Amino acid sequence: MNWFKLLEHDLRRGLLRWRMLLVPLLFLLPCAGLRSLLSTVQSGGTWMDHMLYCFLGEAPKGANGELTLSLPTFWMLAVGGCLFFNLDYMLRDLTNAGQQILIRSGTRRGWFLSKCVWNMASCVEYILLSAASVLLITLFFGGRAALANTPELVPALFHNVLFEPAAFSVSDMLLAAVLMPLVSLMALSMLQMALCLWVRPIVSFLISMALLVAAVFISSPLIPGSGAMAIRSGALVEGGVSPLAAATAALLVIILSAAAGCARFQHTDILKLEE
Amino acid sequence: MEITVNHVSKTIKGASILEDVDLSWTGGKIYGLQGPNGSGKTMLMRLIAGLIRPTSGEVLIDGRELGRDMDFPPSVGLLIENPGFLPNHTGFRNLMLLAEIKKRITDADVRKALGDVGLAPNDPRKYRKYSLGMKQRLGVAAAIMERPELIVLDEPTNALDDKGVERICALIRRERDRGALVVLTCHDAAILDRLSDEVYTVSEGHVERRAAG
Repeated sequence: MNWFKLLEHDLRRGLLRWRMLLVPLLFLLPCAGLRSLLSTVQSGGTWMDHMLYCFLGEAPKGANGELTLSLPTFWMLAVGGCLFFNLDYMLRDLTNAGQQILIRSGTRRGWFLSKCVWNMASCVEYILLSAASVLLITLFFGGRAALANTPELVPALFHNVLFEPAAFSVSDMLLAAVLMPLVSLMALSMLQMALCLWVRPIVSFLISMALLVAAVFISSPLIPGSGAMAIRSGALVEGGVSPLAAATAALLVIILSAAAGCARFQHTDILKLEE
Repeated sequence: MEITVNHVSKTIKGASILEDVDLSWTGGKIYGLQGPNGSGKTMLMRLIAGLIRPTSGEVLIDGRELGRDMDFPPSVGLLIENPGFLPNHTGFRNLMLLAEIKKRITDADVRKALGDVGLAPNDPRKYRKYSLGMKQRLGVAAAIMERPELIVLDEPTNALDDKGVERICALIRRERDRGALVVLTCHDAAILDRLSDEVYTVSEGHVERRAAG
C-alpha cells in the first residue's frame, strides 16, 4: 500500500471545498472595519496593515490597569473560521468514501497520519486564501499591495501598547501576521481533530473556541492561540509573547495531538455519524 | 481464509449489541445472517471487517487477531449500508481510485467488475447522478473487483430489480466458488436461503446457526 495515495486522496478531496469561497467574506468584515482607522491617518493603507488588523487580537487584559470582558471579534473570526472549516472532514470521510480507502490501506495509523498532514495543509490553504483575499480587498478599497506598514497607523492599531508611529521590519510583520497565526492554527486544528475522536465535533469546536477565549485572557505562549495575536507578538512589541516559545509550544501540541489521535484511532469504532 | 469469532461481545453506550458470539467460518462458503432490524447483523459484519473492536473476546483471521496483529483483514471487500463514493467522479473513476491504493488490479479488471454488475464502464455520468440501484451495483463491484478472500455484503440486493438481483446472486456464487468467504445479509429470506451455505439467526445480540432452507 502506498501511503502517498491516502495523502493524495485527502489533499484532493479535503482541500478543494466550496466552503473555502467563504474566506473572502470572513476577511471583508475586519478589512472594512479598518477603513475608519485609516481615514484618521488619511491613508489607503497597505496589504500588511490589513493583515495586521485581521490577526491583531487584543492587548493582554489588565495591561492598562483595567480588566474588561470584551473579546477581539475579528481575530476570533479569522482564527475560528479556519477551525470551523476543518472541523468535519475527517469524520465525513470516515463514513463515506474514506471507509473504502481505509480498509484497503490496511492501516489505521497511516490513515490518521494522512489526515494530520491534510489538516496542516488545510491551515496553509486557509492562510494563503486569507492573504489573497485581504490583498484583493485592500486593492478594492484603494490601498496598496505593499509589505510595508503605515507607521502613523501604529498607535491606533496597537492601542495601549505602542504610542509612537513605527515602521516595523517586513520579516517581523510577516512573522507576527502570517507565520505565527499559521503555526497557532495548525496546533489548534490538530488538537481539535484529535479531540473529535473522544467527543462530538461540535464539542471539540467549542473546546477550541474556549482555548481562543483563554488565550485572550491569559497571555502565555503555552496556550495555543496566544502566538497568533500580532498585538502581543514579541516580534513587534517589547515584552510580548516570544514567537520562538509560542512556535515550540505549538509544535509540541501538534506532535502530542498526532500521537494521541493515532493511539486513540487504533481503537475507535467506525460507525455512521448518527450512531 | 478462516474466521474465528471467540466469545465476542459488543456494548455501545451501555447497550449490549452482541453477546458472547462464537463462530468458525471457512473460505469457499456463503454465510447468511438473518434477523430483524437492529438485531446486530451489521455490527457483526463491522466487527469481522475490523471497523469496530469487540468490547470483549477476539476475532481471528487465519489465526491472527484483528486489532492486535492487524488493523483489518488483509484481503477484504466490503459493502456495508450505503456505499460511499466520490460524487463528482464516474463509477469507473471511483473504482480506479480505490484500485490504485493496492495496485493489485488493472483498469481492465475494473471494467470487467463494472460489466459484471451490469454497469457500463464508459458511462460518463457522475456518481451523484446514479440511481439507487446503480449505486448499489457500484458498491458490489467495489467489494468484489480485487477478488478478495473475504467479502462482506450488507443487503447487496437493495434497490435492484429482479434481473439485477439474479445477476448479483450469480456473482456472489461465483466468488464463493473461487474460494472467497462471503458474509451476507438480505432482507429477503428466500434469497438468503437460496444463496447461503449456512444461515445464522441474529436476535437480541445472540447468533445461532440454523439449517439453510
